[in-house]
Amino acid sequence: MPERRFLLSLSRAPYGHLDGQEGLDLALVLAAFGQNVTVALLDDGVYHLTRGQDSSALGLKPYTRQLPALGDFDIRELIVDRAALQARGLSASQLQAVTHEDDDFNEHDSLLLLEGAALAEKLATFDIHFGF
Amino acid sequence: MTLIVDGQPVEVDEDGYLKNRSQWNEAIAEAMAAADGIELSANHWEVLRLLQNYYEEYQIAPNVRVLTKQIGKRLGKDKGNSLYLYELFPRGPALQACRYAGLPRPTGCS
Repeated sequence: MPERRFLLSLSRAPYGHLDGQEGLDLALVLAAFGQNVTVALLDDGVYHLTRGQDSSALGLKPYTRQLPALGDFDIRELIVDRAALQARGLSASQLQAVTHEDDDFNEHDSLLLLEGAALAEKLATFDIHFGF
Repeated sequence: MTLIVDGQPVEVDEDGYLKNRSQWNEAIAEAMAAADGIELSANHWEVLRLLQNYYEEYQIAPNVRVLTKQIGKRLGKDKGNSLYLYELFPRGPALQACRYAGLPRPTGCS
C-alpha cells in the first residue's frame, strides 16, 4: 500500500477552545507512529505562529510553542496561508522560526507560505485531511 | 493515587505520572526511581534535566525516538542510542524518564 499523507489544518486562533491543541496533539501522535504528516495554518490559525505568547493568565499551557518542535517529530512542512497573515497585519518578523533537519543533519526552513490557487492546489494533494 | 515523599503527599495518575508538575522536586524523582530499584546517577540526572528543559521550551514530553535524537545532539553521540538509554531506564527511556522528571506521559507512547 502506498504511504498515506496526512494533513492537519488549524483554522482557529489558539486558546479560545481546544481545537488547536487537539489538532497539534493528533499531528504529533501520527508522526510519532511514523506517519507522513504536514500541518497547515489557515485563517485565524496563523495566530498559532506568532512569537512571545503568554497563556499563563488563562491557566493554559502555551502549546503554540510546540510548533518549533515539529521537525523533531519529522514533520518537515508547515504550510502557512500568506493571505491570512497579510489580512491580519502579521509580518515574518513576528513569527516563530520552524525548522527541520534533513537526513544529513542540515537545517532547513519548514515554513511554506502559499496563498490562493497555489494553496488550494497544495492542500488537495493530501490523502487524509483533518481540519481543526 | 498518592505517593508520600518526605512526609508530603504527591498526587499521581494511574500510571504514576505527576498530576501537578509544579510539585516536582529531586526527592520525588529519587523516590520514584527507588521504587523501581534504581539509584539515580549523574547519567540519569542529565537525561531528566534535558527532558525538563525540552518540555519547558516546547511543551512536549518527547517519545523515545525524539528523546534519543535530542540526547545525541545535546549530550553527545555516544549517549544518543537506545542501548545506552535502556541501560539507564530499562522500562523504556521516554516513559520512565518522563515520569521521574515530573512530565506527562510522552506523546505517542501507550
